[in-house]
Amino acid sequence: MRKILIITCAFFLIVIAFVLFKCGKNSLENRVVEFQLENGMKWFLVKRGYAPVFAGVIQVKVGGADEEIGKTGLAHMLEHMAFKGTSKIGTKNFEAEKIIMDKIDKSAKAGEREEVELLVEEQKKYIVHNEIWDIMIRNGATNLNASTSKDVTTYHAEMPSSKLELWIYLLSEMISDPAFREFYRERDVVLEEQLMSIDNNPKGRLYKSLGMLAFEDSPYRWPTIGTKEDVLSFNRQDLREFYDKHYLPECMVGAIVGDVNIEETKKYLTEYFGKLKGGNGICHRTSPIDPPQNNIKSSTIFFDAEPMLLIGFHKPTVPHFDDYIFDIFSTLLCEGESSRLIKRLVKEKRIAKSIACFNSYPGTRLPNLFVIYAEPYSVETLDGLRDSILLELEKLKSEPINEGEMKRVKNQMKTGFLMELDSNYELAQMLVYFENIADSWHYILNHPANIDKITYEDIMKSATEYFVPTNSTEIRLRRKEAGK
Amino acid sequence: MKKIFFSFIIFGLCLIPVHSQGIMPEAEKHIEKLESKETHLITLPEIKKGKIKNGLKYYILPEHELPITKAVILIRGGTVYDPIGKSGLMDFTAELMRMGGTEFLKPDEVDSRLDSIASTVDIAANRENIAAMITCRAEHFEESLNILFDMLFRPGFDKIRYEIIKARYLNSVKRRPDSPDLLAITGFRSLLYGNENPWGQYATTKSVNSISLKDIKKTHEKFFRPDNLIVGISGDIKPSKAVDLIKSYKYYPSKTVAELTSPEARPTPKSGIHIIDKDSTQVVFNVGHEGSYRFNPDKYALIVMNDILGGGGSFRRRLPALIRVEKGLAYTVYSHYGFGPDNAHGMFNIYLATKNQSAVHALELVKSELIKFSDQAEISETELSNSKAAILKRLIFEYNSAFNIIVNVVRFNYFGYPDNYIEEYGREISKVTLGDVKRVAREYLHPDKLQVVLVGNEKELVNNFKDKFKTSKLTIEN
Repeated sequence: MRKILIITCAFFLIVIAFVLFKCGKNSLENRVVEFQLENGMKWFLVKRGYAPVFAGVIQVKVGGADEEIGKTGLAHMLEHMAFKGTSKIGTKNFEAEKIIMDKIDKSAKAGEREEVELLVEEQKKYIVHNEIWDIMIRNGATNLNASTSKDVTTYHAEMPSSKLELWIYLLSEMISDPAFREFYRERDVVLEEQLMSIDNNPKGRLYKSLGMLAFEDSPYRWPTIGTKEDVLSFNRQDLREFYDKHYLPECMVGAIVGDVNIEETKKYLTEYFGKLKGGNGICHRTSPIDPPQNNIKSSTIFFDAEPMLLIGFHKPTVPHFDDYIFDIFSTLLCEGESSRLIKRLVKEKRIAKSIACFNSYPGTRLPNLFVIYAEPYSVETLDGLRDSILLELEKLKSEPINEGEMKRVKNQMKTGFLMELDSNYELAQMLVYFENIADSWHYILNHPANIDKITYEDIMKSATEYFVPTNSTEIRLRRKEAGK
Repeated sequence: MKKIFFSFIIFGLCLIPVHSQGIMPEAEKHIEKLESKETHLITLPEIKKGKIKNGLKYYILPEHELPITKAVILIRGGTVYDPIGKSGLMDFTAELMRMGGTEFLKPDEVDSRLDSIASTVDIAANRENIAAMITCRAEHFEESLNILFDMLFRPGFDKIRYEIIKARYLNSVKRRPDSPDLLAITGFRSLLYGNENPWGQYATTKSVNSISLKDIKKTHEKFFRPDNLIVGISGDIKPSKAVDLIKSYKYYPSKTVAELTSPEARPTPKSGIHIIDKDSTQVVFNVGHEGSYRFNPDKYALIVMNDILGGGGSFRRRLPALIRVEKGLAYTVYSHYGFGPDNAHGMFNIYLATKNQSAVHALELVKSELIKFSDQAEISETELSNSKAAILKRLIFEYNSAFNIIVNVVRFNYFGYPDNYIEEYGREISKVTLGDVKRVAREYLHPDKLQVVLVGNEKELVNNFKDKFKTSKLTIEN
């Protein structure tokens, strides 16, 4: 019996290798089954796998950038609340519970804190905490979590294949019928998350300051987790309205990658997600975009930590051709021990302890920043490090990169892409993300060819256009000097 | 390609790993039906394994889905082998093996060669081993493996790279206080094992400064021997080809390794509250005492016990249910029960972070929950069955790629378990009874001896705690 299993597997794996890569782009295209429900929700299904498991991801086209000022952090708060059960799951008596929740809303609106506390206590007798999460865990879920970025909200898990229908059912209930119970406690949890990830975290503070300074009208300005004041001001009505506006089937993309039967999966998806009611069929998102920056921006934050430096340059986003050039910059400058900034500043000049580059901070849907992060050895060399980084960027304008570098960078990028396909979860994430952000997951198929199109002149031209002081924002973090 | 930036997630810890009461009747039957679909069991595939003449052991498992090949190498050693006063030596040695070039290539040549073929090669010291890894395209595996073997057996010990690594290491020591989590675990460990013990000491400016190139060469000489390591290879490669690569490597050192015994320790909690000062509006807690040893017959009951308490990746486990869900006091809270070798037991450690004003309340809650859990043995059949189900059902993920299987088998071999230890592990977990869990909770948890390390604003904390608990100051040397 076991032998047969192995032979089947081996055969299957050879087929995939052939289809996925040896035949090039068209074949990966064929492996991904696109499936759209009548209500507009789109799914990508890929059958593959070594063991009978799958990764499931649902991504909603809503994130911190879809909030308004005064309600920052709402998308993330909603993500937390999605796990709090439904009218059927997580409650002993929803009718009775709902009456109390309505009273809580009223009292909260009237600012009656004590009354709210009493009602919260009263509601407890009906609540069964975290039922959805627990059902998944006791059925073997791993990598169970959710995340919110500026662009999207993502729910994911990996489970044994036999639990596919269970996962689809639970997610459909969770997404279509959230009860938003235990709201006030969860708000406290989110405030603790803020303290940990931003207020008391030097890197968190550094990145928050960059967004606040670099962007003006763009919603990329505030951190996804929101401000304390805003989070404290939320009520359940805010959640409900935000949910009604954004959690529409036409704004959701899902992916299931693993050892699953495609036809059976389609049947379950139709049965469980088919019931979601759509809006007008189009997922509409608009956000203000900043006018071009025309002066250098810089600021210093004082924090009890060793010095750090962050430099950001405004740039366009996908599918703009220049965005691919920034993918090149990121690899050329910071990926690998022989990359320019690491080789020259960490090893030759020895003025940086570490350096990293990121394309597309804090998101990819709107024009964003190319970011260089660096740690100097001491506060005295903070400015020298900044000058050295800028000098390296200057060189990109006047001297073409050499042929070996070009080859290295392109090879690293293509290999990096290949490595991401190795895991069910990564592949599922890439499919939904680029479908949502770049309008089609084909972005990942075409990426290598687009990278290949980039010439030495393109790189020099973009460096000249974007790496200019008036387009940059610098944030330094350092300790307050004694007596100042 | 792009990464998703600064996502804020619902559950603030890596996922470590239940009966329904809260489901309305119309959904209950349906969920029961879906849950009853049984998980397939799979068995370990056939792995090619062996040992070559010089004592080097290997495990190989092909997987041809993608043109990627990976390797893992475990070397006996690790940071607990650092001599007293030379904390950082193993880290430093591993880093210099990776960065310091080889007898055949200068450091820069190694860097540009690996980048040009897009191979990722790492060497890092863990506490109880040194681990090396390769991830690369199949066509570059031979070259990557040869370079890694050269790093391990024929390192270049480049003097300039030695200086760079030292400067970076010293700067890392300086940056340690930037992370409250790092401060807390460093303090917790040094109190529990003693700062004069290899398991408790931590790297300082002084210890790193004392590490000479000669020390590193000596360490290399002692540990980096073919009979002191295990190689695992998986991915797009024929097993016979992989064996040939291992056998045909020309520069293995001839000497064999001397018998290595990992150092001894007797972890003893320094009961009380120890405060490490850091200007912060949130306090990081490490609360606990000693753990146990890997070959303890009670290990499986302890694993289930810890899962129920707070190690289970579920919000319904005791500590997260109370501290996070019910009281809203923390974003991250979990417990960890660790196992060490026979002569140096692991740690039991509860982690949480809460705002300064809630610190006293949170500590009281943790203490009372531990008393309920251990002294009063208030643990239910439902908790037991849910935790066991979770642990057993996710075991299948240990087999979800050839590389996972290989990493596991290499680790099992390193620590003295059979190759198919996952199966034994599953069998032993399923045997654990409620009686076992209650017994180990009483026997192994000591709410009266808790060692509490807090990282936060000392002045504020001393003031908050002074009516209820005595506190003392703990300093982490830089």
